[in-house]
Amino acid sequence: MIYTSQALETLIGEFSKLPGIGRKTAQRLALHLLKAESEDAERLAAAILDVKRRIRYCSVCLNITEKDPCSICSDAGRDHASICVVEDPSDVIALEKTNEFHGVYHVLGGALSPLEGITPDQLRVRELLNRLRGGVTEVILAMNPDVEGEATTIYLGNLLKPLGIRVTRIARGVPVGGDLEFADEATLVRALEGRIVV
Amino acid sequence: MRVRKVQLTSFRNHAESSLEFTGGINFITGANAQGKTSILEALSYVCLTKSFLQQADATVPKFGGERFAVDAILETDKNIVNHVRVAFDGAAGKRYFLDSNEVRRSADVIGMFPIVVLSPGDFALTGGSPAERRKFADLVLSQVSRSYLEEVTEYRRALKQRNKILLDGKLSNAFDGDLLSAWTDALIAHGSKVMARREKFVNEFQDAFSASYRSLVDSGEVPGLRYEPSFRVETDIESDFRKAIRELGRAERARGATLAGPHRDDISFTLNGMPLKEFASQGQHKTFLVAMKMAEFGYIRGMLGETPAMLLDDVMTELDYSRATRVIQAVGTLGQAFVTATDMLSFDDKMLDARETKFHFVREGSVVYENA
Ligand SMILES: Nc1ncnc2c1ncn2[C@@H]1O[C@H](COP(=O)(O)OP(=O)(O)O)[C@@H](O)[C@H]1O
Ligand SMILES: [Mg+2]
Ligand SMILES: [Zn+2]
Repeated sequence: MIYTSQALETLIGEFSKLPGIGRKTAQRLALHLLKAESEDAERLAAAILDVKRRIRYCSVCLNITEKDPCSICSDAGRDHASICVVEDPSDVIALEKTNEFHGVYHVLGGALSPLEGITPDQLRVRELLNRLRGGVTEVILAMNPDVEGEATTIYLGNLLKPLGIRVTRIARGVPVGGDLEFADEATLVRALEGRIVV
Repeated sequence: MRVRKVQLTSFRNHAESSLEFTGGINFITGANAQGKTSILEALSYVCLTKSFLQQADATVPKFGGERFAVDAILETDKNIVNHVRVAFDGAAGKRYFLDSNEVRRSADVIGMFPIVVLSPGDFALTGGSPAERRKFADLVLSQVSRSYLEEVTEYRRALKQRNKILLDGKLSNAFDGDLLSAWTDALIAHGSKVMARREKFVNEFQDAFSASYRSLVDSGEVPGLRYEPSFRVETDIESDFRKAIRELGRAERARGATLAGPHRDDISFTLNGMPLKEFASQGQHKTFLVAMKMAEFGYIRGMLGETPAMLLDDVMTELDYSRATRVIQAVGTLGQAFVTATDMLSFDDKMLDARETKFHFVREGSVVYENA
């Protein structure tokens, strides 16, 4: 269906660019907003802009944050000699919920996946290597338990081992094919405790 | 396991069809292109989460629509009753529900409701390409072992990723050796496990297979199965795999693809020590196939402690009469069977007397019962 308003068409077009939103859902969302109060629409627009204006990447760990460095990186009570490498910001949240890890993080921004064009250059590998100069003694690799995570673990392990740092990976207590963020806390705690040297 | 009821909604040429089955032999009859195979296909969605015809889900919705659903009531050997719903929608994809709970990974359900399928597509098993035999081993093993299914899925993924690196490298003439080596390790880790499982499977399967073969032919023929990996295994699979990949390094880069591993496995069939492919008659090929399927039935039943249902599509025309009758009798006395055929005349009275039977007549995408 083509609407008679260009503004509505534009909004539908923008919505359907979002992940998981097809044209039908985009139409529903747009028509919903059309019926909503002006203030509601303004709050939504402001929230979207806020995210873009205020959220940035931590210059140390590359997690998303509002202030730089992020609250974890600037916390003197944490062990800055121990870095846990994860794929995404959501993995940091999952691990933080366990209250078991007191070091700091490094967010790679994904895992190696040649099929999706993700090579080491697309990930924050160089940034990780740069951080290792400053007295880091342990790197924990906490990738998702899928093949991409596994290959990334092997790749980083081979890269880091010659540097004389203790490199471990979390045990595969996490269900195969599952995401770190979907693993329950008890499982993650076990995976952290049972980590093995790479 | 037995299927008590199934309902097809907007599935192939069925707008809405409901069938109630007997735990014995279900004959699904009707002229060509009326919707018989589609009913077996729907059962395959319920039990294996996908079509045994290897067709994309999107081809299934009744022409003009983009959704289909299959609902079924299944009962295990231990008399546990489950409701399964498979629902497909062009936008949301396929979703599987077990007693209203969504099952997100097929590995969680494959093997719960085991089936063995014999359809015209299976005639390539003995004479066709190695891919057909790998598919056979994978399907049987996936149903009896969840960890195998996960392992083989991860292997396929690692293989695709590694092939992409090799192909990109070939095209750009630049290889990142460290990246390739990480994927080689992942490939070997999963591939070795897949191979070990397949080798064990072929050895275990051999006995069940010989027994079914001898139940079909009275001659002294000795049938054999052998696992044929893509490289020589002398010490152990993992180190020989690594050695093979090392030796193939240059060739892999030139071809832009992985040249050793379980994706190149084969299982060879022999009769009196001679390769079946080269020497056997049509009839011997068919006997092999039937013996494989009967052995599959027994193997799955033994491993899972759950009796598979047997889906036999067009066997009356594809096999000769006596072989077809033997399979139907053999499996029909042990468990539930679904047999499609174009006419009822081809069924022997003895076969019908042997067990509880029920006829389902299919016409233009609807099921008709004579006495209903
Ligand atoms: N998505 C679909 N929608 C409607 N009809 C279909 C669809 N896919 C296949 N068909 C048709 O359904 C009919 C029944 O197919 P099938 O179950 O294989 O019949 P049978 O096994 O009785 O010969 C065939 O004519 C086929 O062309
Ligand atoms: Mg058919
Ligand atoms: Zn930080």
